[in-house]
Amino acid sequence: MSATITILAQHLLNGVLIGCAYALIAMGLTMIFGVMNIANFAHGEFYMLGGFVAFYLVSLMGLDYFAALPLAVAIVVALAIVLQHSIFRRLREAPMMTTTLVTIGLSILLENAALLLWGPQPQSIPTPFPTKPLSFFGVYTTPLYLFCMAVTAALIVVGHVLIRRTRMGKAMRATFQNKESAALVGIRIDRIYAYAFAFGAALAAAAGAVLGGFIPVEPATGGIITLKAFVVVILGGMGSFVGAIVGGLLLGLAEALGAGYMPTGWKDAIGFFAVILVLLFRPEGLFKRV
Amino acid sequence: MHRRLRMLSLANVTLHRGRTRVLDDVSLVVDEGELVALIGANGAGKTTVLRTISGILKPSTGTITFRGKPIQGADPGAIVRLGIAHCPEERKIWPDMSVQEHLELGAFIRNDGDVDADMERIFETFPVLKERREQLAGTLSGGQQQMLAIGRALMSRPSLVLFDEPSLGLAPIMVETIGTMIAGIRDRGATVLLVEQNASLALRLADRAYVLETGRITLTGPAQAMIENPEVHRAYLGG
Amino acid sequence: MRTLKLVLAVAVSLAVAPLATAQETVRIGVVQPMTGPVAYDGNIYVNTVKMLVDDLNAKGGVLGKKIELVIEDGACNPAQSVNAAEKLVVRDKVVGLLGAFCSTSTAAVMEVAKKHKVPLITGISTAAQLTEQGNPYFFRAVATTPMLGNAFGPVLPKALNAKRFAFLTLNDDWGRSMQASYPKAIESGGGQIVANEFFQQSDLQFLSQITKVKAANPDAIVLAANTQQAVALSKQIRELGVTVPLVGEGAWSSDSYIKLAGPAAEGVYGLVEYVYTIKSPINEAFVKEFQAKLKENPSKFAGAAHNVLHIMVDAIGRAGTTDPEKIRAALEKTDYNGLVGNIKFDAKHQAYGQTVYLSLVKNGVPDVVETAKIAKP
Ligand SMILES: Nc1ncnc2c1ncn2[C@@H]1O[C@H](COP(=O)(O)OP(=O)(O)OP(=O)(O)O)[C@@H](O)[C@H]1O
Ligand SMILES: [Mg+2]
Repeated sequence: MSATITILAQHLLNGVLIGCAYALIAMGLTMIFGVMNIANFAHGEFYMLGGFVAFYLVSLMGLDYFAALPLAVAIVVALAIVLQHSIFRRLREAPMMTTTLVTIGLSILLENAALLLWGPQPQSIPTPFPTKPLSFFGVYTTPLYLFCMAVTAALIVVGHVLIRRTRMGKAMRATFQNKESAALVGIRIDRIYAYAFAFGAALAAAAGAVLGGFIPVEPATGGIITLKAFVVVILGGMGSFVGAIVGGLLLGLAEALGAGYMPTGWKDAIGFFAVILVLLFRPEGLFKRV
Repeated sequence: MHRRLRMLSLANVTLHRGRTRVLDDVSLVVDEGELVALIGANGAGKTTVLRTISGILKPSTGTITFRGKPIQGADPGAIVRLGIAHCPEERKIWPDMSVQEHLELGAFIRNDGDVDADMERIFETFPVLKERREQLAGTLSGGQQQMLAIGRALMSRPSLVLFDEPSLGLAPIMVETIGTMIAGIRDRGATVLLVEQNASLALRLADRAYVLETGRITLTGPAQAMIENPEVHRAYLGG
Repeated sequence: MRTLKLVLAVAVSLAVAPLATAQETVRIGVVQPMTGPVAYDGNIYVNTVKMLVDDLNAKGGVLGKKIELVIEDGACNPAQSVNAAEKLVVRDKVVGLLGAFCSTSTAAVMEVAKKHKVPLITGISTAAQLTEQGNPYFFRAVATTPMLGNAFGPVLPKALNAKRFAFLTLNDDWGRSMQASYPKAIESGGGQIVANEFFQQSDLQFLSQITKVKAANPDAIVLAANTQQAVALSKQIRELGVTVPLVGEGAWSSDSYIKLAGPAAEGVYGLVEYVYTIKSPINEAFVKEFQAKLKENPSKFAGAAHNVLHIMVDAIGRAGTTDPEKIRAALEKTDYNGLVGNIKFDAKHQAYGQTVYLSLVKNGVPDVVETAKIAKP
């Protein structure tokens, strides 16, 4: 393969790897937004906690890596359920401004809790994969990258199927589209809220746990993740699952190719530029809420 | 006429929204097998009565009993499980879900094996829905959406159905179809409480009727007598 | 009534206390971030000066009196740092100041030093403009990025056996000043610059930048990053199959980086003003004591603390008085031999003459493989 094609292929591979992660995180955010009408500024903290708990289980408690990942997600989900039950359930009728402030407060609280528990150092989750990179015609990746891509892609598909095909998924979408008629067919809205919040947190925590193998996690990571997730959700359309998936992949690829072929100082600007463009021409985002 | 079993009764129900009293001492009853109409002008409180029965709104005072048990204050999920279906005003379909998904979710509270058979029955009544079962509800015409909303309500196998202005915004021919449909529901054994601004339709279908004016029941009686009442005629039947 | 008397008594004794002891000790003020974003490194600095002052006092202190440290938290925040410095000078009557950490805070504290005519030494803030202001009370005992570049640039091609150099640095004053100042020095040593790339403070992964740098086919990559990003950066560079040597300013020889990056830290070069593996009796004694008392290896911030404290105490000793003006004059004549060799100040009060180090991580230990001297600017 010629050198330019190899480099292009490497950028594309990088973009898909990061894009899958963006998509997974954004799916959770869009679900919480769509069902509960909450702009969850603490979403990135679930990612951060997923990473830290996985690190704690593997590194400090010596748990098997593949057992630690689902367990970490389960622990974060349990925390999310407690938070939803004790805070957000009471805010069902509250205006968006109130819930937004509450999530901002929660994000600060969770970040500082992580700081107290684990300190400010970045931590990488030790993985059982060989660290030696794999090369396919000069395009490099590692077993861990491939594992991340496989897990995030699989979770996106599973999430999508759960939402499209299962009874609960359908109930969620109905709640999303018209709460009153959902309640009238017997869907318990507060349960749907709890499911949506837990499910959204689970997706973010799963992303944090798998990516934590090569992107060190620290207490402040959450803020950056939240920002990226919002970019994706605004790009894809607030409350749209397909939008979150397509938007996540698009942002990942745009950042990779943009940084690859433009001055790298502009990398972050690319995502925001894309959002401004979309908002100018399609204020509702690329996809409608589904 | 032999005495029928009392199905639903509202006794002295009052409801406030903010500081305004939207329902003022409302009492009404619906007996098993009846088709009762509730008519009234814009903003009289008809929708509020239905939303209070189905648990979306909580009355400030008064009692609501269904088959002799008090249900005021229960949540909508519990009430639909008792057998009360509510086909809401403006249809409130889920625009990005398919026809079939609407009917499946209509049966959300059920876990018996007859759901598919019931769905077939709805499709027999509304063949157009069968043709469009995979189509998204948002792309249906107004009449088709109304049929879908009715079908969705019936999928819970209710013994009492609350209809809120099912004829609203429909072409005259569609209004007739829907009317026939509602009469059919009653004929097959369900009880119906029908809210309509189209009073002539409602009174033609109904056994008995109530008139609601700014939150108060001002008149009640057999539908036929209401049609003949000059005041009702002037106020609701257009001359 | 009795409680009132008690409160009064306590208040009076509190107010009098500093005055009462002022004659008996020599007070040195410290403004460092003990909370906030760089609290971890700030605390290392503070613990180091505390340990060293105990040692100095055990040997008789200075001017026949004990040295007393008064420490305030500046939190890397200019406003808080100014308040801290004002309090140290006005209330505690310190004869000299050590601080601050972040360049913006140091710039703010410099004004306080000038207003009250009290000397201030920083061992950490490297923003070039600090010594360009001609503030007579400010001294900098650390090399700036361009000085480090000038010292090491000509040596790097040979030391790393590399010709083609690629830059990948943080996109801030530090990283930009590195990319502006190093290339000329590297070229003078026979090297060539093949890529200039940046990343943001908020970046968590650097795959695009690394791929781009890799495409330029360099023999070595020059980096500037703090611990967090250094860990991810060195891992990801190796994961994308880049095997050339890495050399960086910042965290690259610190214990925390080496521990967190694990195998990815192996073979990484650091360009540093201090590293704990320096072979000299004075450093070996310092490291031994540091390990015993603080349970880790001293970082460059500990090294900085060692330098500035001794330079200040040395000047007080030579001044023969606690008059800040005389101490300032003595500081200008500094000719101090410490952890990193000899340090003098030029007319702008910028330190020169000290040794800087090229470290290479081997089996988790940053060995010194090359040294250079900071030239008089
Ligand atoms: N959410 C609300 N908050 C406050 N007042 C409300 C609310 N919804 C309805 N109302 C008021 O309650 C009264 C009754 O409204 P309702 O919708 O029950 O009337 P309706 O008889 O169904 O009218 P229509 O024929 O227009 O459907 C109206 O005066 C309305 O303004
Ligand atoms: Mg109404």
